[in-house]
Amino acid sequence: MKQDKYKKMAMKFGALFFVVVLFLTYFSKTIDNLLLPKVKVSDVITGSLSEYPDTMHTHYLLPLSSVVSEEVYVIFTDEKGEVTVNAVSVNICGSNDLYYEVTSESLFSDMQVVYKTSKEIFDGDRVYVEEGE
Amino acid sequence: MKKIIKCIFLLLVTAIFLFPVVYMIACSFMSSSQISKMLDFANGEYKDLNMIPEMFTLEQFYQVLFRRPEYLLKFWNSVIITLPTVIGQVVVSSFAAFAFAKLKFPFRDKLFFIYIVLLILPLQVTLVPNYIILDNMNLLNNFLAIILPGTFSTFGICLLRQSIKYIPDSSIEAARIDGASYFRIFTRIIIPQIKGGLITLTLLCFIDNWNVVEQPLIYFEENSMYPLSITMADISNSDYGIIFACGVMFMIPALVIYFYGHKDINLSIYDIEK
Repeated sequence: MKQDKYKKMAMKFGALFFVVVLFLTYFSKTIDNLLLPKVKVSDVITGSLSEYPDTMHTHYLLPLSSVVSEEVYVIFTDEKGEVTVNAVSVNICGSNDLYYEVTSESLFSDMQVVYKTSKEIFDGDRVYVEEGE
Repeated sequence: MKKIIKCIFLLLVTAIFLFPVVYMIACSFMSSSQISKMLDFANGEYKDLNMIPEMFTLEQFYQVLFRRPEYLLKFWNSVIITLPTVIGQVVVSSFAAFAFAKLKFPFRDKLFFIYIVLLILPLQVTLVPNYIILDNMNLLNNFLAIILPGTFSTFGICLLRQSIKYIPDSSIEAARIDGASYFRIFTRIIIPQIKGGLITLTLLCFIDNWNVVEQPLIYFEENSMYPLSITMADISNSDYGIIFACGVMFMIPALVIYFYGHKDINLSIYDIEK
């Protein structure tokens, strides 16, 4: 009788284990991505807002919401496909209703910057990039 | 006094055997930084033997279960390899063992002798011939490359033949007189009496195939087909924390099967001894 009880327990535990592993196999990435801060990104555009731009440095146009305290978060994708954000300092040269004109040693035109996030993000955080509108 | 010494000796032996498992479980709850501080294999150093986590964390399990589904896929590769092999081996072995133990046909004993010789041969001896045969059958890079040789393994036949041999011939003869076919005798008389042997074979076959390392490395070219046992054996992998967490996950099915059948295994071993 006691033996049957152990057998039943082992069977139940085994079945539960396999169901959980099967569930996680399909939904692990989804659950992981749901827990990450969702960000919207914009390409870094080279250009200037002034009529007579400074030709010594490359000037970039970034959405207003992407620059906070002279810092922007750029997207970095590693070889495993994990997306993280890195903080980059920028010098603000000017602005209009849509863009900041900035210069930076660490910013390049093939980068993307975060302009909207669902949670507070910090340097090195993993994020989930949502499709922008 | 003699009893105490015996007790201490047994406790020591148990501790030695259990140490790697306890160490693995302890390390699976450590942070990756503590593990890399402890095990600096890259520099040929083994710095510290610490079994107490500085900070108890489920980080490694989170990595395996949520962030790195490739390890879960490898777990399923292990299941795909093991489950059909176990079922196949138990079915094939029980039929073959019945034939070798109870049926009379020409060259039966000589054939069984060849089976025993095959059983004694180390795995590595048959690895290359198997590779060539599987290549000719276009079965390389296919799970059948491991399932088929495992299904027709000689070990199960030898094990079950011993169990079936102890069943009295008179019960089979009586069933024959009553008009039962051999298949009916097998299912109604033989199978219920070798239940312990079948569970023993299931467990041993499961362990054998669950821990398989050499065959996948040789028969599979694609890493995605490797079972989790290969990851366990991959010392060059720098993610030791993940290996420890995978190890804990990897041993659960084997423990479940053992807890399910250990009473029957003990019974069958006593039966054989009697």
